[in-house]
Amino acid sequence: MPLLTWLSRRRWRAASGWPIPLSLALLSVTDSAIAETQAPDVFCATYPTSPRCAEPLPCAFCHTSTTSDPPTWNAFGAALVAELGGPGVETPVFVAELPSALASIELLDSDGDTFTNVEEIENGSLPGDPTSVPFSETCPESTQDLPYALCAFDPEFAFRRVNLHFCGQSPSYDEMQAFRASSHDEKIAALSTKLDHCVDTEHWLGKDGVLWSMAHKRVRPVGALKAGEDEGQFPASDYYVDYHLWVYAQIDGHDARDVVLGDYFVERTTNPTQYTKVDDYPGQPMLLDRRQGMLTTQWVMLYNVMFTAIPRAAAARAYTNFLGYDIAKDQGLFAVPGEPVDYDGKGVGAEGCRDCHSTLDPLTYPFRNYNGLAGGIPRYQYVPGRLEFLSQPGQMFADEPATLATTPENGYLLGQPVADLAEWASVAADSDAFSRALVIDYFQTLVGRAPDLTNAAEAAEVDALVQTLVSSGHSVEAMLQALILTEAYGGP
Amino acid sequence: MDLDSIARRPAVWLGVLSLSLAAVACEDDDARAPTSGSTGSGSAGSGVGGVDPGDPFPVSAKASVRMKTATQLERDLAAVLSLDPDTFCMELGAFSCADVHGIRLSETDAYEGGFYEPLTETIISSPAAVDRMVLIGCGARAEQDLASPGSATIFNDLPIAGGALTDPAAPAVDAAVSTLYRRGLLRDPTAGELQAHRDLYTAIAASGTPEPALEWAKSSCFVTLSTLEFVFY
Repeated sequence: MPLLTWLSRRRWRAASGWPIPLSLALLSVTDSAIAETQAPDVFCATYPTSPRCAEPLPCAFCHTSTTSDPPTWNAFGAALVAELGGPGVETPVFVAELPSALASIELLDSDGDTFTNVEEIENGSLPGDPTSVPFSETCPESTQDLPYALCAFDPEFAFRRVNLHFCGQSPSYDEMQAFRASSHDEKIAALSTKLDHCVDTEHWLGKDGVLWSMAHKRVRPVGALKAGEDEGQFPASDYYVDYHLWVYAQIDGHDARDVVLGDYFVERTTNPTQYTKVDDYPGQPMLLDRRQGMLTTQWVMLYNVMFTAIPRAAAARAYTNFLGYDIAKDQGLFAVPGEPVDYDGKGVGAEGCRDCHSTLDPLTYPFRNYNGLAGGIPRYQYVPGRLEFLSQPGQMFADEPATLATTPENGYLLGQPVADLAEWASVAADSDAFSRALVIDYFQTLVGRAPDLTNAAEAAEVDALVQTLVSSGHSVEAMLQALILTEAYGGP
Repeated sequence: MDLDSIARRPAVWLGVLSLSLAAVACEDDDARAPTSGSTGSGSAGSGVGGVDPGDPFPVSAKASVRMKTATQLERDLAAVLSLDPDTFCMELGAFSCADVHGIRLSETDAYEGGFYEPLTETIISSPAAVDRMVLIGCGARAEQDLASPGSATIFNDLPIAGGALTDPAAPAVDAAVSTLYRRGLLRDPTAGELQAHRDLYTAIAASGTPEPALEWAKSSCFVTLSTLEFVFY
């Protein structure tokens, strides 16, 4: 197996759940697909404190291209390949020798940016990219006469931001003057009070407010297909219920995990906007015991499952929406031994396909009984034996391979076996990936950029926010109270 | 002068403002543009947190600034200028500026346009959208204030005769600028900034425009509310 495929796979060591020695042991007994994902594990076992290991390693860590044939490496990757004796080294040898190869090139400055490879690794910058260097800043001796407190948390800067982000409007001059005149402790308290007030405003939680907008990329609405309120030309689905559940899970200390665990729907009333849990909702036929929050709404069944037998798109969207892993970008790959089986004969076992599908297909199987638009059985519902029925003569999948009907319902998520979608959602909701993805989404929304992993202090702040989210029972508002006090948010 | 005529003339006044505010113009663009991972020093430009022109200031390595979205900008302008946020800025008299210019000012267009996330960077027409919204708001406020001088929101009781300020250094002129700064930038203007606004009037009056006081009010408002300090946070 080319070294390319080893190094091009990203895997989040912290989420794998498999200690490295076990991973290494598996190499001798599993197929090549699982072996291909081990390089990031080995790297992060070698450098466990590298900020890069808090999320999937980027391709650019070693590669300039992972899709071309032959693959190409940046200066760091090339040095590593040379140390390993060239590309094409056998899998077990590669895994065994990677740590020593990494150690051998630690003191080199492969990309010529004046920082050694190990300095870059430990500080989260890319050792093969001269434009990526460890974060540093020179701070003024005193910020007393400056309009902003550089290199520190500035309460006034944060106060303006809290007003704009959460209330949608700057404070007044009088309000700002009162804030300026208060003590530091009073300012911190005022920030908290302001946040508490603003998270109840229309700007934050109302229709088309900030929270609502954060759901766009997850719901992916199509105006022409909208049913009910704001009806489109071809009304097919009232996807506002997806938005309602999203917002409900973000507010009032509710458990954010309900976006994948909730077995209820949420209604919205206006003037002022309020969200209320309900057992049933018009146009949502999914029975209670098969509901999994935003994974199983009618819109998801219609738009992501549609007519597909094995709804990979629905599973992949869920993986991206709630765990932050985009398989199309080689993120979150947890290869399962023996996969992909290719039950529907799509050729997913081919070279160039199987690396991703060895993760994607097993995480899709739990969706196999959720019906979208396929006829002859109830639409938008969980239908036991769905593929078996639809594979019969005269049914929609009659021409598909006979193996389709044998597609299992049990699968794998994040390297863990799951029996069905309920367990899938449970594993997802309790994962570090879920909490981290949610924190990073808020970080990006409010700070305006992704966390800077070359800044150790900022990486630590993100870790702390993840812990706050979890320890608060996944209360987004509790996490936001901590977020607005970070230097990343309030440091000019 | 109506808003259409303002819209046709910003190029003229921008030139005037450039001269008038030369003292507060950016002296070192590179130094003022913070770059992550680097530090340096710059010189204070217009509206840099009340630092007088020319004063050096350190540059943040974080470059942690956000540009107001269309909604935030519209609401802030409405609050500063005491205008109805739902109606003060309407394109073609029918469409909210925040809606029309939303995409270019970091909003989404999820339902019809498929823009599920805001653009990660502003685009070439983003500054024009800001200018337009500020210009429309400032035009409306200046006209309303000068039409009812006793109850004006910002430009109150300016000493005007024949469309011109009788005394550009009058306390009422400085008071108007101070009100504008307090409402918009949440602080008092510096002495240098007050002088720059007086100089602005001198330049406008010298251009021969028939209503220099009104033009100054609009332009003074525009130049204040289109600063980095107001548009970014």
